[in-house]
Amino acid sequence: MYSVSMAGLSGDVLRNPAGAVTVSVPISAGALAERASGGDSDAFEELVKAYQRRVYGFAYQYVRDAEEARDVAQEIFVQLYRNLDRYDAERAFDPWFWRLATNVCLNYRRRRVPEPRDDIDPGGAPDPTAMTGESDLSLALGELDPGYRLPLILHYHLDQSIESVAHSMGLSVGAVKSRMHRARGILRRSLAERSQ
Amino acid sequence: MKPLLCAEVRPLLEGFVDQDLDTAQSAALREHLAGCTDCRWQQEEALSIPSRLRALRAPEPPPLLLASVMNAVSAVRAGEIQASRLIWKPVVAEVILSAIIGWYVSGFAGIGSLTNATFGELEQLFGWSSGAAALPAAPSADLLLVLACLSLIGVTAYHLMLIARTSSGRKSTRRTA
Repeated sequence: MYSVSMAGLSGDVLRNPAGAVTVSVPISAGALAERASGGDSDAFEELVKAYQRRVYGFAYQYVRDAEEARDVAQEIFVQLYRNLDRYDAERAFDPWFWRLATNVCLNYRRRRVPEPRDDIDPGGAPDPTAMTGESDLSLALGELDPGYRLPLILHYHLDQSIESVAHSMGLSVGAVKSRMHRARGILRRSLAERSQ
Repeated sequence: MKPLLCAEVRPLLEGFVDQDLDTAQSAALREHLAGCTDCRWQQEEALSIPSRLRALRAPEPPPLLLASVMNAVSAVRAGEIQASRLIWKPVVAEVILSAIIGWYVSGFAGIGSLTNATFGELEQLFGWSSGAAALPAAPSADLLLVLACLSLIGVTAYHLMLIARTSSGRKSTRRTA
């Protein structure tokens, strides 16, 4: 029996003695987290595989730098590993996880000036920043205070509800709405200035 | 409600777009927008920003992210195992020192005699400090007990520091979570 990853979910694949795949049981992220907290490193790896794209995207939108985003994403997963025993399997995994990820971002400190690395993309993969194309909106978002940037990323990039954003940031729904209004107002003014 | 000025309208545009304003504010804002081209342009911008934010793309995660995460987690796990082994080492010293102290004190009778002896020694010290008596000789057996107690306190403090250091990572991440 081993685990596979498929569209963000994982499943156990059972093989009969002849080696043919017989059953596939979908496993939720919460179940993977529970297994991982019991010391199952394969389950933790599956969890990382299932979330790495969203976590990296979230980190990238927050720090606006590909190398730093990698560090932040790694820190989020390390903190996930350290906190697995605090996850309550009776509750949904996503709100708990994104709250942890949000706090990692908020606690993130720039410890060093980013330096070029040669351990990533040794094949000379194109610069992700160039791939995304830094639009005026991206630049304006990067200039926002993190307290205003985070709710926008959580709501618009990760598609979280306002209630989930409030939970992730430890704020009330009203405070999140207020921050988002202010943040979008700042973006609007910034874009207007750039267009002049 | 009196007509709104442009400076009053601009901060309300996002709330207006999200339909979070009350009826009176919305009506006043609508009235202003009907006659103000600049604010209407700002309103269109405010309307477009949510969809533009949703359309923002992020690059794909680097291919080695998974490997680097698993390496970092292995290092964390190794550190935890080492710390959990280290945490038991002071227990040996604590047990030996406790046995020495227990043997010396030898039950409640021993504690009583120790208290009497200590009280007598304090009296002698007090007499010496007030000039009424000579400096008392150091009681060798009591000194051994004091040294054992001080050592036990030191080892226990070191042990507690190890426990605190081991759990500090967990505590900080609990705050994080």
